[in-house]
Amino acid sequence: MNRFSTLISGVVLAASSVFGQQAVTEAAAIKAAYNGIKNNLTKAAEKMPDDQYSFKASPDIRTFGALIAHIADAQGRTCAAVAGSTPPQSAGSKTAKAELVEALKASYEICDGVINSLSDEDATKTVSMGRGGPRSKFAVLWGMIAHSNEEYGYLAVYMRIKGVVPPSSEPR
Amino acid sequence: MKRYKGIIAAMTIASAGAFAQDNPLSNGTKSLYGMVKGNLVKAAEKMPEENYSFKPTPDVRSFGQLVGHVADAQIVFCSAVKGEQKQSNVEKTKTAKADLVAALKDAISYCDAVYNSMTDSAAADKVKFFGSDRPKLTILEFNVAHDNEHYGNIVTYMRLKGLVPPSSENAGR
Repeated sequence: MNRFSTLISGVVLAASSVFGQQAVTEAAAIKAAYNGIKNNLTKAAEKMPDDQYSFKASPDIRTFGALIAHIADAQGRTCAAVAGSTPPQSAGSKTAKAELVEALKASYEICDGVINSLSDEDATKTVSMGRGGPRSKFAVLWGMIAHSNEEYGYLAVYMRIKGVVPPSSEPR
Repeated sequence: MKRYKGIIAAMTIASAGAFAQDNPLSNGTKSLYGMVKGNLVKAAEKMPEENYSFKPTPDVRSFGQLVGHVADAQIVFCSAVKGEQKQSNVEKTKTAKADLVAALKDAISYCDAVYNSMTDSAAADKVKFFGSDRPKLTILEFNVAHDNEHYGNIVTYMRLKGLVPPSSENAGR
């Protein structure tokens, strides 16, 4: 986490590299933020050794594997709701690395379709999901991205404790 | 982290609260910001002073440095949107809990005004940030994502010290 001499960490720098010097739009910003955290989460899931998927930093919280399942479930459900499709089966019962990596990738297959089809015209659109009535489509997706970043924040510490450098801290 | 039976965690639900008839887009961002800023302040206040120097491994930030980093980032993000382009150096200059909590609160107070004044009609207005012209609302959303990443770090530090993080205090409600 001390990976930058500059002030801001990976979430912004990832977007900066995507955007380059071009002006960006709101839809492009969501895509960049989504792809940044997708890249980190995918690499983290792949990089953590299989025998560490049962590790939890303290007894009363999720294991590394359960965090991956939770992220996959949250992303799959959110993107399915935005797409108007049936949500995937929960990954909550899975414990093996291969299964969980696969579940995470499956959630990205759903989300990729949603994210890649976004345009700035979607800024005024709403979606219905869960309680609370219609929500801004963009706000729902930003909520998912924020959640994935929080969970990545847990994963990064788990990895550090196990002596594994998280993907966002790898040399660029 | 097991605070909800459902899989959709707090900030997704928070964004769902952003369905006000007016300004649904910017209200969504405000809602997410409101949630994470509250958790960050409560976490900073709850962690005992002696644990501010705690770091789970030698090569990462201490708890106090995380708080300072978040405070610094808030100023950078929000001042860009405000057109002031400020810098902040709390992480490198403060170590005492009282100083860091105060700096975090100051930064959040500064950002509050920026978030509160945002509207959907101003969301796409561009300002210079990290070398690019970016929509104002986008910068505020990146701030939320950044806050959440580091709140995730903070949560795990607290758990390692046997503390329940603020977002889990009402688990089972």
